[in-house]
Amino acid sequence: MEISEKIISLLSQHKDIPTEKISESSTMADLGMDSLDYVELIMQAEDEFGITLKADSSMTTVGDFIEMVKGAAK
Amino acid sequence: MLKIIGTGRAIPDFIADNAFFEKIVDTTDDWIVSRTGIKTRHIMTEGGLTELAAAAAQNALDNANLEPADLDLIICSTLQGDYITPSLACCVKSKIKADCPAFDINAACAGFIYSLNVAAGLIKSQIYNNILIISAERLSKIVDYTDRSTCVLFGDGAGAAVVSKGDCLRYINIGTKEGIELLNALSGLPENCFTKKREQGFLYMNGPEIFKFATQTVLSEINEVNRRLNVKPDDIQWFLLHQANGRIIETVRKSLKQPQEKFPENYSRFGNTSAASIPMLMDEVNRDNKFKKGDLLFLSAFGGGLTMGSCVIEWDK
Repeated sequence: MEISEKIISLLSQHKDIPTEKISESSTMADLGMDSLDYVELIMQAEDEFGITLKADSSMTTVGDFIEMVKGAAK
Repeated sequence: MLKIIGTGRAIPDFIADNAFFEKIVDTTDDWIVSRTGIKTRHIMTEGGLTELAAAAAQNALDNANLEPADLDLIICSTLQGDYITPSLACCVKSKIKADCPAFDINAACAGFIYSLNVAAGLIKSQIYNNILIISAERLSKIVDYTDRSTCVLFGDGAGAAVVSKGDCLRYINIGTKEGIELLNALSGLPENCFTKKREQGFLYMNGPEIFKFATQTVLSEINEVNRRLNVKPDDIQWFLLHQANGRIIETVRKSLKQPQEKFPENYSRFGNTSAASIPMLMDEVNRDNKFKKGDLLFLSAFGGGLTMGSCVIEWDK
């Protein structure tokens, strides 16, 4: 599964939102996420891709987060 | 190496609920509860930490059916007692009229488990038999009540346990990780011919990084318990986690796929009481007669340092 698909899948499971309602332009507010939800997403991405991310980074859109994960996974 | 023969706790009278904080900082009850699960916390407004710690200590001694004279050692874990010197442990010793060595340790929120580890080693040395461990905190002294991100999180309290020779400690692990900049409170300096005055700092915490450290530490320790003891989460009857934040505990619980009833909590009523949180919680469950002989308790804490400590102890009372 592509990184972007996996992240959307993680978000879908974590917030119980169908994947078709999540896009790369979705924001944290769109998904009803607070900063602790974001940290949990970071931890799941770290486990999934074997990377380390800063917990106090910020995500404006899902697309931004995907790019951050891709950068760390290189 | 050891077993727990008594538990105790003491809580200050003044209750600061979320409505109190709505009046002093820009926050709401909804925000506090959804982010942390905390509804009230108890704050010391009179007296000293010595009195609170001594009350928890006497409570634990009564539960253990011991007198102060039966103690061989008192260990207090605390960020700061009433004095720089003498130690809080010495002050408690004097208050309860014990006659034994006494010292403090500071391992922040992991202080109770650090104390258990120290006590286990000293009991194994066969020099000491009955050791009183008290974790007592007056966090309200170092909290900035104008900082809405931290002031709602912390409360004051004291928890205690009497430990003695036994074979109930199945696993214990303490450690540290780099992260002084993530959670700290700077001490003050006086004005004198050598130093310029420096005000005591307030508690600073990088919330997201500490959340991540806490959650990953607890889950990693559960894996280690499984690896070393072949004890799985299903085999553990009670998860007594440091009561820092309800979201940390819920994240751990869901990850382990364990039922709510295995995760008693007191953060909703007392907030984060640092090292006192686990012994206070243990005493509450004990006094409610919920522990059964043979139950496995998994304790795990994490705090400034960064410090961490976990143990598996079999309930023997």
